[in-house]
Amino acid sequence: MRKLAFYTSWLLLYFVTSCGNSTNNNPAVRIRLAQDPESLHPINYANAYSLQLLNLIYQSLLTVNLKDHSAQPLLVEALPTVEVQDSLSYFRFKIRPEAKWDNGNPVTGLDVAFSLKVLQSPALENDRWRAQYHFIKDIKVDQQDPHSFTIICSGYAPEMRIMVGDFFVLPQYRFDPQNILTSFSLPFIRDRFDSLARTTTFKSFSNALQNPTLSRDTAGVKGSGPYKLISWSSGQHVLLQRKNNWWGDQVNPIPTPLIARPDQLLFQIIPDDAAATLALKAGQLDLMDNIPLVAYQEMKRDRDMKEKIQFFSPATYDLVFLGMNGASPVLEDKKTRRAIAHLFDIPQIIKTLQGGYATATIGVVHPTVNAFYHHQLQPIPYNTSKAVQLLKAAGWKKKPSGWTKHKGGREIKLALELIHRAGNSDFENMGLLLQQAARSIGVPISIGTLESSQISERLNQGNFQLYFRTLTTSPFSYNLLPLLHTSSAKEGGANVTHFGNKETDRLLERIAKTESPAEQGELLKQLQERMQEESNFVFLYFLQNKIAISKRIDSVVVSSIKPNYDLSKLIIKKE
Amino acid sequence: MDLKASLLPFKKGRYIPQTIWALLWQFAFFIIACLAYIFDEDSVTSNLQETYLPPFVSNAHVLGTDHLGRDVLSSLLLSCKTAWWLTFPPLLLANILGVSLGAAAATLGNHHLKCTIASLVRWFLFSFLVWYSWELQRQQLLSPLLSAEFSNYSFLLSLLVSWVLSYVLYKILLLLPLFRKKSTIPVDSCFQKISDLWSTLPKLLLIVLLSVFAAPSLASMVVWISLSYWVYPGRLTRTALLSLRQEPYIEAAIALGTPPLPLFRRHLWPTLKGSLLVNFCFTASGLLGVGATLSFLGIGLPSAVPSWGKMLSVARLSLEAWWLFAFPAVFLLLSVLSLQVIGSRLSFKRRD
Repeated sequence: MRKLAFYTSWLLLYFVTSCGNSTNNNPAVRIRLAQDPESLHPINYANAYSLQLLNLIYQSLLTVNLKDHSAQPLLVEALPTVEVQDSLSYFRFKIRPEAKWDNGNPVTGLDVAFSLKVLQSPALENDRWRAQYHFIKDIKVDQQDPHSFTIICSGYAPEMRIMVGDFFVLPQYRFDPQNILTSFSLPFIRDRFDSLARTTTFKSFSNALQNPTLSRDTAGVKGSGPYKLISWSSGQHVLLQRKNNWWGDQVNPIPTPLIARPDQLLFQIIPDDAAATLALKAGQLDLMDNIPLVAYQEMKRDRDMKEKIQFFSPATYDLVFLGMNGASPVLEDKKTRRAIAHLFDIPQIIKTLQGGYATATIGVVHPTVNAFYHHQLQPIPYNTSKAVQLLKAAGWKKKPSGWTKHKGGREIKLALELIHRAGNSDFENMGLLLQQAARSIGVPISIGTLESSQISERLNQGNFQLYFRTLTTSPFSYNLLPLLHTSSAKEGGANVTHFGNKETDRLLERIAKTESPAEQGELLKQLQERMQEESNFVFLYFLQNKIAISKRIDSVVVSSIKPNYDLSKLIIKKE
Repeated sequence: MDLKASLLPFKKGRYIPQTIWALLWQFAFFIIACLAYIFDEDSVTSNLQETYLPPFVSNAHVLGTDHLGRDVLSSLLLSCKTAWWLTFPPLLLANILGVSLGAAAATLGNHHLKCTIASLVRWFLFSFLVWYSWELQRQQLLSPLLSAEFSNYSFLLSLLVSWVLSYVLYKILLLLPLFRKKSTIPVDSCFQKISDLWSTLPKLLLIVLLSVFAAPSLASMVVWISLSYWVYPGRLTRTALLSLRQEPYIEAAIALGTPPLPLFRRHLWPTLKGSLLVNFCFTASGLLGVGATLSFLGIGLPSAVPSWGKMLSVARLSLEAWWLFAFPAVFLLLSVLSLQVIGSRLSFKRRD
């Protein structure tokens, strides 16, 4: 019996040690995904993780240089030539002659035209694409050279230089083998959207386009990019492999955007942060981002981990803010909203809750964008006495039961509800701190944690008072009309806080139209002043990503552009 | 089962120390839960200057602080209140509900309850109106319709209106012959079918599902847990009563015309209470775990309510801050173990 116990113990020990550390010569770069991609359909993809994978499988005309944020040609030979005539602008492109689909056919302007038609067609639930690419009026493909084409846009704005080439080019032979869309022009599809939606042709095309093969099958998910889908086990992993004879290898000299080094990319789906951190520590992951603060700090302090892992914390354009419903009876006075803004000790929150890995801001512009950020405008400081003064100035009277005021013949009480997404520990912590600060001046705040869809529903209905959210801003565009214009404040519009007046509307319209960076900077600074004055938003901070990458990986490029790292440039060190 | 009687065998043997320790722990648990009302949740204040203080370093924070600088000892003690509220009141309610339904099923059977269709319609309408006005109240749609003086009593007003409306409808329906007709309600079959259905659902899942119907709060969790745990006491009661009914002394009591309530109190309850008490202890120990699991997952309780599960959820992010894991885990473990020990002791006593 003792012998049996002895051998069993050794056997167990053997299994435990053999499962422990898997820092091996794995040819794949192993990346943690926090969520299953759910769909790899290039039009109807589900989330940011799908987009990350799709960027390795499909290609757009242009891409962004992760270091300096400049536009770079990807599928095309060079940046487009631009010509503005009256109310139209013309962007001329030429696709690289080497660019080919997996079947050997060249990528041409006809594929680009097809892709634009799909984006505008009623074949898919594509409201967001229609809105985003509404400025593209038409496309003309050169009859002599199908690699050359011109995209015709209404008006001109500086951000069009990137947006006009920022969509996946789809292989027509795979998505529309019967050439159904060839007989329709882009303007025709745009103009007859509603009537076309009812035709049997488009209904059958819609069915074909929504075929699950195109969204998760290894035979269907194929683009012009350097990687192909090898396997996908839902909730477990997605494996991408570099194509053997990828067209990009034939371009000489090979431009930076076409560099794709790793042979395999294995995306491990681990939703739980703690489990993913353990996997990283055990050497089962090469790259993990959005690491919880405490785990990140502990790893950085750990001598063993420092030998195995390199740490990065690039700035992001993810802006965390508190929104206030300016249409709510208790919050319609801007002094009341300003009083709430005085209840956040932002420097302390950044120092403690974010460990310093965040950047305080006074508005929607990132503080590193010096030309547009209003550095003279001071953030609203934490000051409970000032908050009390402002509440009194707003007509609130302090009673034993709380702050009250008369409005429309009724007495209303200042009691607020804060909603935020369930499971977000940052929001939960900040909610508790706000609740505590508000309680110290006699304002009760109840906290409701809801699912994202429930929050969106309540925001759209205007059935809320305070909410926490993260807004992903863009360094390329400051067209804030959908978010802040008063015309977007109706039900279903994005201006849920009811920010704005005629003056801010004019500012927003001028910001969207102007081509001069100096003028845009001046206008954006004015907007930041007005936004702080109105206080419909309390801008807290821009997040920094916390990334850990194994030291067996070399040539790491991190950036403020999502996903904050460039997988295609990574090199696995030879041991 | 009185305490003195259950302690008697301890003098002879091995159960004395652990059972007494278990009882002492449960007593302390109860006292701490009561004391938590003296220093309420406001006493656990965040202080971002003092986050992650280890234990036995600061006199103000003997057991250290968490990621928001909250005192771990205060959180632990306040969490006792939450754990107690999520365990004993809902279980008591579940037992009352289960025993009532089980007794009704055993006593009324399938043929003894008769009522008019008008009565059925009346109670159905009343229940519907109460539920509907509760929903209106919850979504704050009722208050604007009433003046400020009445808005605080809006739910009571709606109860009164519901009762009057259902009563009026009842009186009108009674005028029609169809609704005056009496029909038999198969109480026992209904009880068995509902309890069968209820017991097929895992309790944790059932609570998670039910918690969708109301905003997170301690009170709503008490209700959802009560609604999830009534089945076993109900079945126990029904089975015990059905077997006891055959006993000669019960038949004699019924023949002598003993009213139902005294019959239950004097003759049925003494036999029933032992099984219920044992079940109560074991279920309570399980419920402590369920309560901690729910708050660990962030379900059912507002984020400001301290609980052991929430403390454990915070602890898993930091391996260095061992005190955030150790203290709530010990409290939870000891509370569960003590209830198990008491349950086992009571179970042995019943067999003896």
